Amino acid sequence: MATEAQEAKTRAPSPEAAAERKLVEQARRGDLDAYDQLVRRYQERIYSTIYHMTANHEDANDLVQETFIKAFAALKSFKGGSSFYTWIYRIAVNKTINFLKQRSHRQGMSLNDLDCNAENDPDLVALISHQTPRRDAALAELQKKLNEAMAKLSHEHRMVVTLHDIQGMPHEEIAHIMDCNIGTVRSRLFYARQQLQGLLSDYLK
Amino acid sequence: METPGENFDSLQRLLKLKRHEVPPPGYFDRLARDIRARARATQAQPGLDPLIRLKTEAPWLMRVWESLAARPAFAGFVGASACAAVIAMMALSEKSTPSGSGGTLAETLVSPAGLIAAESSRPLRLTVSNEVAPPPKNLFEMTPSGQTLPAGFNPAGH
Repeated sequence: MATEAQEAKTRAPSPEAAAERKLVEQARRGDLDAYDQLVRRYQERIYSTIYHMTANHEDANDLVQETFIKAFAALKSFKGGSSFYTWIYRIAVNKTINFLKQRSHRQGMSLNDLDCNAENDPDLVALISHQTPRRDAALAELQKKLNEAMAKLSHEHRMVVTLHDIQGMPHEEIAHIMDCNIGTVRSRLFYARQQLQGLLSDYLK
Repeated sequence: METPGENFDSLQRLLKLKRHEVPPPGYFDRLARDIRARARATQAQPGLDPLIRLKTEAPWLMRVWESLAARPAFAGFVGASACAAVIAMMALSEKSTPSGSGGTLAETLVSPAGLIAAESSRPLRLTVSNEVAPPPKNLFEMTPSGQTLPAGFNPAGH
């Protein structure tokens, strides 16, 4: 009896998922208000992913808009096999990787400012004042070095680090989004971290 | 996956710095408005954006296009291969035609000199007919001139 109840619980969509499905249905029928709600729900996460991949605010702005417009135009083809969140993430990831392949000759960075909380983050303060040999290194310089190191990773490795280590996404979800198995995600994450560790060794001692 | 020798704690702390990189204040409100405006434009004029329609109706074609656009060298190779395939097919189709019919395309085209040479090997006889074709009643009843020949050559000599 308990098992049946548990199964029913897992089968039943959460209220959030049900609300999202309803919004998707409304948006598919052309309801712009519904689509606007979906955009506002995910725009920050999609923007952050693209921004961390490109290290360029203007490029991220263009790509995030294109992602949502493409998704809006393709809503009729969305079968609902995965969540809207996973589906739109896939569009964003593919668009970003294609963009990065095309602009491989250009490496211009346009970094966003750090928020005021960065200076109070105990982990970051510890890195600057205790563990970094160059104690005078400002957070801004660290930010620049970190982005340069990220740019040296392959697109797939950078994507895994972005989704997992920066955005805190679980391996399973990353595997769904990147259309690969969990083992591949773990192995990419390991090699990406290893490479970053080598590139940023001066700041990690 | 993490081996005992690998400790990524410091790196993960450093990566937290990226979470503090934020766009200018008010950016996300503007972004949502821009997306809404573009979505409305797409909705209002679906016929004016064939690219978006193509993306919706044939996503596989767009995937092929995007993958080709991402690798120009590969796209060039695909284009060259397609041209080579077309040329090869043309050459094969010409080879497969019977040899008596001329061989290559240039040979199958009848040249006046070739015609004269072929016809001069046969005995010719001029036949003259006194029959005159009746004049057409009107322009639309005219028959092609090749069908009623008042005079002609009889190569066989009969």
